[in-house]
Amino acid sequence: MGFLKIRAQTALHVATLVAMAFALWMMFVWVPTDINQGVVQRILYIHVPVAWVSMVAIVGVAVASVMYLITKRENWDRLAASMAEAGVVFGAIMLISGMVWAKPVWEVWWTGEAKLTTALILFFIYVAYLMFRAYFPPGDQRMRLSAIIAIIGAIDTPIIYYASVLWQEAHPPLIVGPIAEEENLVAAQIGLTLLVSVIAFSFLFFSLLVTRLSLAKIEHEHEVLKYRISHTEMSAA
Amino acid sequence: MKAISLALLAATITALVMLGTVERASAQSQSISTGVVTEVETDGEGRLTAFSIVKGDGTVARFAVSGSNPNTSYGLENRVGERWVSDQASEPTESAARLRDQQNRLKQISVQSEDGTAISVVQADSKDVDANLGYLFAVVAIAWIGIMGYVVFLGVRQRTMAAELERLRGNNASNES
Repeated sequence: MGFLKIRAQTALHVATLVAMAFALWMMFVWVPTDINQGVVQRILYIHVPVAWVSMVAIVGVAVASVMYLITKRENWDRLAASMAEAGVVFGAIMLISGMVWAKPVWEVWWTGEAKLTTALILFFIYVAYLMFRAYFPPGDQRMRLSAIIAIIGAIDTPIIYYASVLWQEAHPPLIVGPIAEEENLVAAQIGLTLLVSVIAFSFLFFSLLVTRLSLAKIEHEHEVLKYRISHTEMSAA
Repeated sequence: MKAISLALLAATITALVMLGTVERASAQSQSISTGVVTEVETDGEGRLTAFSIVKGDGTVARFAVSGSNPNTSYGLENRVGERWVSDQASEPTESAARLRDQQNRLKQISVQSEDGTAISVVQADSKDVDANLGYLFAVVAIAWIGIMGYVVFLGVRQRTMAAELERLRGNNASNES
C-alpha cells in the first residue's frame, strides 16, 4: 500500500514536470506576442493560473473544514491546513505578479479597486488562518476554530471572482469562464495556452499539497509521541 | 522530496532558457515590426497588394497582404484620431488609402506578420512591444523563487521532523523498557 502511494506521488510529480515544461514552452515560445501589451502580456499565463490555484485552495480549505466539523476526523483538518499553506504561497505570487504587471500597463504598482483589494484580503485570510494555527495550542478547539475561520474566509472567493463584473474598474474583465462576455473572449492561441498553464499550475499545487500532507502526517506523529512521552514521564514521577 | 526539488529546478532552468528564446521564437514564426510606411503597392484597380516600412534600426521590411488565410486586419487611426477597423477582404482599396495616409503623416504602425505576409496592421503603440521584458523576467523569477523556496522549506522541515521523530521513538522505547 505504502509502495503504491509512493508510486502515485512520483507519478504526480512527473506529470507536474511534464505539464509545466509543456506550459512553459507554450507561454514563452508557441503563443504569439500580444500586439497591444507586448511581451509583458505573457505574465497572464502565470498570474491567472496562480490566482486560480489560490481560489481553489481557499475553497478546498473551506470544504475540508466543513468535513472536519461534520466528521471530526483529524485528516480533514490536516488537509485544510496543508491546502492553506500551499495556497498562501500561490496567493503571494498572485499579488506580486499582479503588481509587477500593473506597473508597465497601468503605470502604478497598486490601485485600491475592488478586485485587488479583495485578492489582498484573501491573502490576509490565509495568513490569519495559519497564524492562528501556529499560535493556538493544538487540540480540538484549535481545529474547530480554525475550521470556522476558513469557512468565513471562503466568502471572499466569489467576491473576487465577480469583482471585475460588479465594479468595472482598471482590472480587465473575465476573459474565460461562464460569465465572460463574448466581446472580451481571448484569441484561441491565448485561450489554449492559458488553459494548459492553469492545468500545469494545478498539478504543481497538488504535488506540493501531497508533499505537505506527508509532512503534516509526520508532524502529527511527532505531536502524539511527544505527548505520550511527557504523559509517561509524569506518570512515572 | 528530492525528486520534486530536482523537477522544479529543471522547470526553472527550462523557464529561463525559454524566456531567452521569446524574441527569437517570435521572429521565426510570427513577428512584430514597427516603423513608418515607405511604400504602398497596389494592383491595377487600386487594391492594396503589399507595403513597406522602415524600422527603427533603418532597415526596410516589405509585407504582402492577403484577403484570405490569413485575412490581413487593420486598425488605423486617421488625422483626428478616429479608428478604422477592417480587413483586406472587405476593403482592399480603402486599406491602401489608409496606409498612404499613415505614410503622409509619418505615423508609426505595428505589423504582425508570418512568413512575410501581414496578419494585422495597427497604429503603433508609443511603447515598444519588447520594452517590458524586464517585468516578465521579474514575474517568472519571483514565481519560481517563491515555489522553490517553499519546496526547500518543506524538504528541510521534513528532514528535521523525521530526525526528531526518530529521536523521540528512541526515547519512548527506552522509557517503556
